[in-house]
Amino acid sequence: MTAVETVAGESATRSASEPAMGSADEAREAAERFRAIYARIKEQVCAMMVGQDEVIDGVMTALFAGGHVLLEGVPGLGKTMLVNSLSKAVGTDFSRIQFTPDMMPADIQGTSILVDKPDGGQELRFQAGPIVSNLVLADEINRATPKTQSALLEAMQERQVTVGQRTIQLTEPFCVLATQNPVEQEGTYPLPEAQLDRFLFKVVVGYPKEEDYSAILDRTTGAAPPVIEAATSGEEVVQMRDIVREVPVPTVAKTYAIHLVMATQPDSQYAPPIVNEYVALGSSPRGAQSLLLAGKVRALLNGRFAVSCDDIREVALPVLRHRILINFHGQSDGIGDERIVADILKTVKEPNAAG
Amino acid sequence: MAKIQGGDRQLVDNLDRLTERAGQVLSSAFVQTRSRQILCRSVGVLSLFALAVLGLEGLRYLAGYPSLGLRAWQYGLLVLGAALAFAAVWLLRDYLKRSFARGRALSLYDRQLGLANRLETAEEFAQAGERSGFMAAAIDDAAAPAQRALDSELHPVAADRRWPVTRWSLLSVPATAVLLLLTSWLGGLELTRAGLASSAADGPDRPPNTVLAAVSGQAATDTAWDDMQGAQDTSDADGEGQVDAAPDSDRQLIASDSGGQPNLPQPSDHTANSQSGGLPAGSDSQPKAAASGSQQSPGSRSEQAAGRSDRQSPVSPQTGRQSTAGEERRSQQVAAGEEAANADTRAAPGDASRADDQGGSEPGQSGEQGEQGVPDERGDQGLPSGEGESPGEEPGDSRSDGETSSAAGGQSEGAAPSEAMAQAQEQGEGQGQGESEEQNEDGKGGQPSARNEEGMGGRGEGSGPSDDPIKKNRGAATAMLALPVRDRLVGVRGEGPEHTRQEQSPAEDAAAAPVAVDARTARGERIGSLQPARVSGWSRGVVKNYFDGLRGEVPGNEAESSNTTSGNGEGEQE
Repeated sequence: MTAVETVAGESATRSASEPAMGSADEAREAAERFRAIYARIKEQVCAMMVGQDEVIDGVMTALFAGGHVLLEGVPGLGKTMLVNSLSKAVGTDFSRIQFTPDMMPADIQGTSILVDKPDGGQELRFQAGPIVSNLVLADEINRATPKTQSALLEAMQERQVTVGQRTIQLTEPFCVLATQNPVEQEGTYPLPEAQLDRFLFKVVVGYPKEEDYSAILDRTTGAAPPVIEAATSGEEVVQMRDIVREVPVPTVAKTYAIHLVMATQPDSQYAPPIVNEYVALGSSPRGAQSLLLAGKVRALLNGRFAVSCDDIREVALPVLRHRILINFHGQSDGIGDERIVADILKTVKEPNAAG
Repeated sequence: MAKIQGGDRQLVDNLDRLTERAGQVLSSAFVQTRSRQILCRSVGVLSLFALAVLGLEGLRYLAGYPSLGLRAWQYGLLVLGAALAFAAVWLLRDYLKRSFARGRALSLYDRQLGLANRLETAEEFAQAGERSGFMAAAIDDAAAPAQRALDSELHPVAADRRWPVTRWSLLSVPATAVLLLLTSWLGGLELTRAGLASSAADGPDRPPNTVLAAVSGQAATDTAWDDMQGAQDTSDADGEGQVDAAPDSDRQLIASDSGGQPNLPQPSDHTANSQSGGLPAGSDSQPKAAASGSQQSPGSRSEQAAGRSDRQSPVSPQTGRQSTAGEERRSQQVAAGEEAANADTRAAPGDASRADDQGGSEPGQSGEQGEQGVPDERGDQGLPSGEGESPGEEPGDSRSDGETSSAAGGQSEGAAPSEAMAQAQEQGEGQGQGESEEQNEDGKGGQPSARNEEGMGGRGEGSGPSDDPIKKNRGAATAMLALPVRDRLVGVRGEGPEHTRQEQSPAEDAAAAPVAVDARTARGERIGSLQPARVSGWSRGVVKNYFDGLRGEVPGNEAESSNTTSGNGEGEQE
């Protein structure tokens, strides 16, 4: 799939599928289809990736929820391989951007270059950057300057890229999977809060388990590397996204998500003491949107037709962990975002919790 | 969108039954939790109840109604019972007003059976007007779990076991105890006053050992009174020609009745005499008062002591003396009891009416009796003439009655006093001091000064069963009449003049650590050069002469002093 190039001011054309869940049977059929496609994609990804089920589920959940993922982990854990495998399994365009300190926004968005015409003349022709794709791997995104990092903002939120007088409408599915190294902080530029907030998930990639090492070594050091086949297409992924949007959210789950987000905000009604003491900035309403969208995916995967508080609780950590800005006291005391989210989940009760 | 389907009726019915069953469990937990909260709050209300009881007792005391006479623990039980009743009513009201949301009731089953909000979600979607396919699927998805929930037993909800003890609740317990003790103390005051009133009504038949120690405590003061009385009597006789005829005999009688101890001289007779003697001549009752002032002293004393005997006893000196002794004893007891209980209560203006109520008689009654001219009716029987009536008299009133009667008793002890006494009772008895003052202004009683004084005295002494003969205010009468009034204040002997002696304490050894020389420097750094002071030769000579003069005062330095003097002259010349 290629990006639809439009001139600025013209209406964008987006691929959209009509919601087809008018009855309970249709809803059940759509949910079953969603689970089947999800299982197929995961099976292909797992042919390359060993272990890391939570990471794979996180990335795929963000993909079907229509969000972006920030992968954080030390080098050598297979972050890039995961994204590469996912793009192959989904069967969409894939581009990789290796962020460096000297990278400029034009290197991401594209620029106009002078080319020779066949008839002897010359002209400026727009050369799209690697951002114009379906799955974009922004490797080591924290090594680029804030100017270059901000070039992703419009693409991630508006799903379009504006270069000069030209606006490029990105085709769906569009998903940015960024990685960053948490240990080598020298010469890096931590992502600003505005950009962090645009990632649906922040998935922390950890070391594989002992039993996974053998399989990793066999698959990566053998003569024939695993072959990943496309389990679906970009259009089907878009349809799955529409199915996800159809999942209703009852009041109890919505209220619970709101309470969780408000609990991350210092001095709010639901904030536990640890938030008031160590958090400088809490989640924005975008965090609640992310909770519900990711909860819908989890509800479908769990065989339900409505979001429950369990779904919200399941996705709370990857959704909220990067939206919490820990203050100096928290950093000096070694308070991590995971501990704060865990404390919030322990403190905030479900709306109808009795007793 | 799917429309509401009638096939969901079964699910809705199941949800209704589940809601009803869960509501019972929630009610039980609600009662447990709410009862703890209400009990803790009721503990905080304890002090309010105790305060209310104290207020009621105080109002009862001020209004003159009899107290409940309970002890502190009995008051505590009363307050505790009230608090428990308050908590019970509160809990009952909350229980009747309780309401649980259906979603909350169904969430109990969701959590207990691990249904992931299926029932709660189905309940919400079933109430929705329009349903999407997923909503209908969610409702269908809840049918089986609802049936399973009906077959299961709902575990009781763990109620909140915490006692929400607040700071107010903690503070309320000691506050309640203090308030109950105050209430009990107030009730004890009331009992003391009632007991004294009843003891005053018992008359002289009471065993003498029940006489309060106040009588003996005033023995020392009596001696001083006796000393003063002689001089005062002399001054009265000299000033107005009124001679107290029987002070000594009265004193003897009083002393014999009070166990051989010297009695307090009654102040009001002298006061009345002196005051009546100072009355203007135009007053109607003045002649009688002036004439009888010296002869009515026995009766007047008894009247002053009992506050009631003034209306009956002036006819018979004997009976009057007997009643005088008995009444005086009682009045001393009452005075001592009240002073021991609360000296301030005597100063309350409203005590007169309260004492009247407790005494069981109205002031008007005594006035009527006095008007009927039966002054010695009780005196003949040997009963205390103020029995059952006198406790209600305000001290000022009783004293004024005595004074008036003594003044009105006039020249003959037997018959003449009744008229004046009746007049005095009409004017003074049962009336507040305001009335007395009004009468003084009107000049009705013919004794403006006496009434003025009695009003002031009554204001200072308050009321009660005791007719305290001790006048607390004498300055105004003395100032108005320009007559010497004996000081009858019962006070404490002064400690005498203070002597201050100065002593020189021995000098103490000054212990100070030696200071190192290096420590005085500015941290070892150079402080720069100091410029010598530029002093003129004349000023230098003055300073030199000054110190040389000091040195010359030391013996043995006279030679140097002379040199210094010569040098001084040189300096001045320079």
